[in-house]
Amino acid sequence: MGEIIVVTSGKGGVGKTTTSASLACGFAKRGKKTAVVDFDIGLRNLDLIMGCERRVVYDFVNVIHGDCTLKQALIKDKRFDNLSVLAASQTKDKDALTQEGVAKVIDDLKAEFDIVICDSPAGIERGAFYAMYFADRAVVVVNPEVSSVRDSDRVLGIMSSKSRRAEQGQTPIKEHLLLTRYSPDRVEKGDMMSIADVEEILGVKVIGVIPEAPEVLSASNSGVPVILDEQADAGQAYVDAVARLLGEDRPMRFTEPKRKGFFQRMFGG
Amino acid sequence: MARRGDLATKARDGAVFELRSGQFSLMVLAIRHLDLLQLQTELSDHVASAPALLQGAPVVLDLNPLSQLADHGLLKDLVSRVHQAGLRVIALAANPGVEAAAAALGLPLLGLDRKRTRVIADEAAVEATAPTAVEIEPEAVAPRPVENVGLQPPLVLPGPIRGGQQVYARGRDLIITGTVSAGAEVAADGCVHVYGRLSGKAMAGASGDLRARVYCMSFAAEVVSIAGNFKVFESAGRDIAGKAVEIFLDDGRLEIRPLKI
Repeated sequence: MGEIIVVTSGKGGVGKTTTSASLACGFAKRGKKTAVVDFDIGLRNLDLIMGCERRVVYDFVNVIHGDCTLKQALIKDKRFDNLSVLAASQTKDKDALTQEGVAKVIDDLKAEFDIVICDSPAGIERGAFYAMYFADRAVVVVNPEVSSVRDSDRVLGIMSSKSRRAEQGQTPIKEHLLLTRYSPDRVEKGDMMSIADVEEILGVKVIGVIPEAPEVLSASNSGVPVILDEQADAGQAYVDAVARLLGEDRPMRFTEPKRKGFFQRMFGG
Repeated sequence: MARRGDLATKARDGAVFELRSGQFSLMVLAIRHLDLLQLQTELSDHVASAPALLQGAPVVLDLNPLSQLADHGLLKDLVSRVHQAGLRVIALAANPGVEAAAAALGLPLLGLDRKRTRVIADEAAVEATAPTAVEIEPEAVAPRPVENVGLQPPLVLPGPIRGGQQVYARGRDLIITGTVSAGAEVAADGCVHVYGRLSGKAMAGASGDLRARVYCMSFAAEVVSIAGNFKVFESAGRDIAGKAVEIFLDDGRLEIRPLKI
């Protein structure tokens, strides 16, 4: 049986879809049979970040309505043949999701894949609720700033009280924080919350720190998840996060300000 | 001559009465089986186990699971047995077919959203929607104190209580062994103890007990209230921020004192 991992945050624009796409590619690269599901019905984005937007024929809602089989709706990634994408519907809204429908799709994916990543929409409404409801593990994406931290706290509370595991009295969802858009320079100046600050407020350990980097945007725009950019710090940070999610012990990187070289110090830059 | 609009909007200064809307949290007594004798016995025991909370308490009678209640005599008997057990039935929850019986007993019918009731013994963290009613069920009896001295065991919860969650310990103390996040609300009719950081709102003496106190190991609360006397902490003073403190009422004034440990 596969493991269900929800990528969520509460707040929008913190990097949930970027993270979902990169984690999915990372797990696939590590040999795990992986599916990644877009729960943002009506505002689908994951297919763009994954670079398969021209190949979406059937979507999540079609599967729930029985218009097609799950197999027909799963889009095989061109880079990894053990990675599939289930796109969200662009024409419906989140009310198209039903508990029984989502449960069936999740169960079928669980039987077929090692890891199922649920890319949650922002907010705490229906789409976000179903994305987390069936989860075994949660990666809560948080930016080092107060509103993102507060929303993450709220989402963690909902997961601990409203998820299927909570309702059935099973062991709770395993929670991880993933800090994105982290800027060590600004933390040092005191403009940005530090890793320790965020961990202390939320009471959850950080599984990865993704530095703020221009490569993230260009990767999104070109449909190649940033984890595949081996030159980029952000890509390497995602590789580390995947390894830690698989139980490996890796030191945190890119969390200290870069020391400038002699010439940079002399001439600025 | 005053126009109609003026009359309608004019404040009723000096009027004998004023109509206001109010919200009450009521207990709902849901009857599952129609064994009147057993009901009276179990209910009496239940009331005796928590007399401070239950003796004479008003309840709304919910007959929803029962279909055979067209009989007025039976309903009358049921209500009188609940009264004998120590509770006061003040209304019936609206169900098809009980209108006539309710009218005969002079009891009003109330609309009840059953999804929003919860079992009273299970007061774990509740999500943001405040419950409108509480349900007592014979099967879900709160653990009875060893000796009946009217002592209610505290409600003990692990943390963290996160933003948006509300916890209320009715008729007892509340103990949180973890943190209370900003935006969370913890309340008790007795004292509130937080063995972590208290960043949210804490209310002790929620039913008006002036002796109730709030304790926490690291103070960062947004609002603290004792028996309705509240204080908003836009920023906690340096002498108390992050400190272990005790908060109590001194002659109606909310006092905060660092704990000397």
